[in-house]
Amino acid sequence: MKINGMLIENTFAEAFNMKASRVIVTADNEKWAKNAALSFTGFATSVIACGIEAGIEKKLGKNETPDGRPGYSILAFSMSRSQLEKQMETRAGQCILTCPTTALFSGLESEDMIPLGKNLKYFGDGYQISKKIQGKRFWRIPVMDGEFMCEEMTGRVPAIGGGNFLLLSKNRSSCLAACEVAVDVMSKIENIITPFPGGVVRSGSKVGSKYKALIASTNDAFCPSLSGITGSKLNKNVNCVMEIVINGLSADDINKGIKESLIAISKSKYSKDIVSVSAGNYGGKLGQHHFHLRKILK
Amino acid sequence: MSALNLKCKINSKHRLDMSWLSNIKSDDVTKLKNTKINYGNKLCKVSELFIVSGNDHNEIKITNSNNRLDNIGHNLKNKKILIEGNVGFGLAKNMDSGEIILKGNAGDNACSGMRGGSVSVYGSVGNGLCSLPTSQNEGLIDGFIYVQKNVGSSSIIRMRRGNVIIGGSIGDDSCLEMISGSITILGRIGKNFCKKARRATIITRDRSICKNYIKANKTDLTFFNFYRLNINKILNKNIIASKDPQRYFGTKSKKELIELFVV
Repeated sequence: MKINGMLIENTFAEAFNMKASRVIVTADNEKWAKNAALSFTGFATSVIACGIEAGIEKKLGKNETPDGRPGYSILAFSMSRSQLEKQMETRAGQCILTCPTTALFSGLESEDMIPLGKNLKYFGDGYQISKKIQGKRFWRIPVMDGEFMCEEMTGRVPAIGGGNFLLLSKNRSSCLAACEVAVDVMSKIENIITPFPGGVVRSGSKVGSKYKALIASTNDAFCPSLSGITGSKLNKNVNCVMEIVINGLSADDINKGIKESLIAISKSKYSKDIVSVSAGNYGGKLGQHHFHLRKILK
Repeated sequence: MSALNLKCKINSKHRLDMSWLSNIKSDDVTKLKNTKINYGNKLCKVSELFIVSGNDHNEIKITNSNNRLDNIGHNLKNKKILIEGNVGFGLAKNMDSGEIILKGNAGDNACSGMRGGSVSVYGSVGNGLCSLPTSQNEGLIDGFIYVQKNVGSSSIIRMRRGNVIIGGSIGDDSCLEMISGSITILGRIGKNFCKKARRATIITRDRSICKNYIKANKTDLTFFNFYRLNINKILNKNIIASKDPQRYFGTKSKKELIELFVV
């Protein structure tokens, strides 16, 4: 199958059930809201070692935030409820509370709620003030620039993590540029994030390793430098592979992200250097969700 | 399904306890019409006192109401009641959840012991709004109350949490022993306001009470604008217009953490 001349391999991405939450961070201006959002989503590329996978979902205008200030919507994903709870509170405390002028609100309504500012309130040392408005509780914690306002709880919903595709390219510059096109498209789609740096990952992994202590290691089948000596899946024209990992609140959101970004790449000037588009999977036995590239692009 | 409509037929000679309204569980109108309620010293069918139409018991409309209909919305749970006309005492007493909209005035002891839900009164309310119900310690446990005009004296006693917005004035001896919560009063405030209160947030235009409080530094507070936007959005009206209030925090006796925004 080809779209606009770009070859789509007959394969699928394998993704997993996860738990997700959304928060909205606001500040006096867009710059400080972004500083806080970047800090919150820092070191949150993979659950393997970071605890959660998080990213900025979208920028919010003054009319879209609860306090009428500019803000950012953040999505965070984790494999377990407890890990999500722990990471959300820790990051709220260390990255948002500390950042000047910010406030933090829940971005999800759900029956299942997890703490956001519930324990952070104790930073107020007894001077914290609780406010309940329309069934939601907010905490006002006095800080040196005024006060930090934080919603007590945020929603937690089932989600999917690990949707992906691989761009197999003739050269690194085109591969990276094509990835940037894809990430740019996906940044405009709601309910999804691309958690890796700049949305792109170069170190795709396989399950297991020759070293017993490691649960994952380099995906040698897609490493161009090893094509002669391993069971490579690359032909001789492929000199660079990059992956885009997509986490979303539903399969439809991920489908949309994959479809729109691949169409955008195929229409870009970089498509001539893309040898094919593949996807990362583990044989279909580990993940609960399979995203078949050709089905999505039909 | 259409809203259950109760048109009051009588200009009551006796007071009529309407607390039965909160307990309707069936959409069967015939059954409701034949339900017997106390009126004076006799039992009357609902159909003798009201013209009943519609069948959705979760959405009730009372028309031609008068100030002898008491305890409307008593212990109300998850129902919406719209009232056209005045009502007697005990409106929304011990209300749990749901919504009451009153296009008229309410009598004494409205919202006494309210635990949740929303009450909007497009008129005035008598004495003892959110007063202490018998054998209970808190006058308002939670909920949202909007009164477009004035509120009588001895109102809002021992408020635990919730939001009260008063478009007019409030009488003497109000907001006593407040535990927490937010109150906006756009009119005048009576004597002995907020005595023995522990914590509270008061938004007011009446500067006469400022002398009892400590003027705070002019710091930016996210809360005020957030609260202002939310209240204006809920009421669909620019109730709190000022974006730059003067804040007072703490009483001069330094015993209470009362926050005052003068707008």
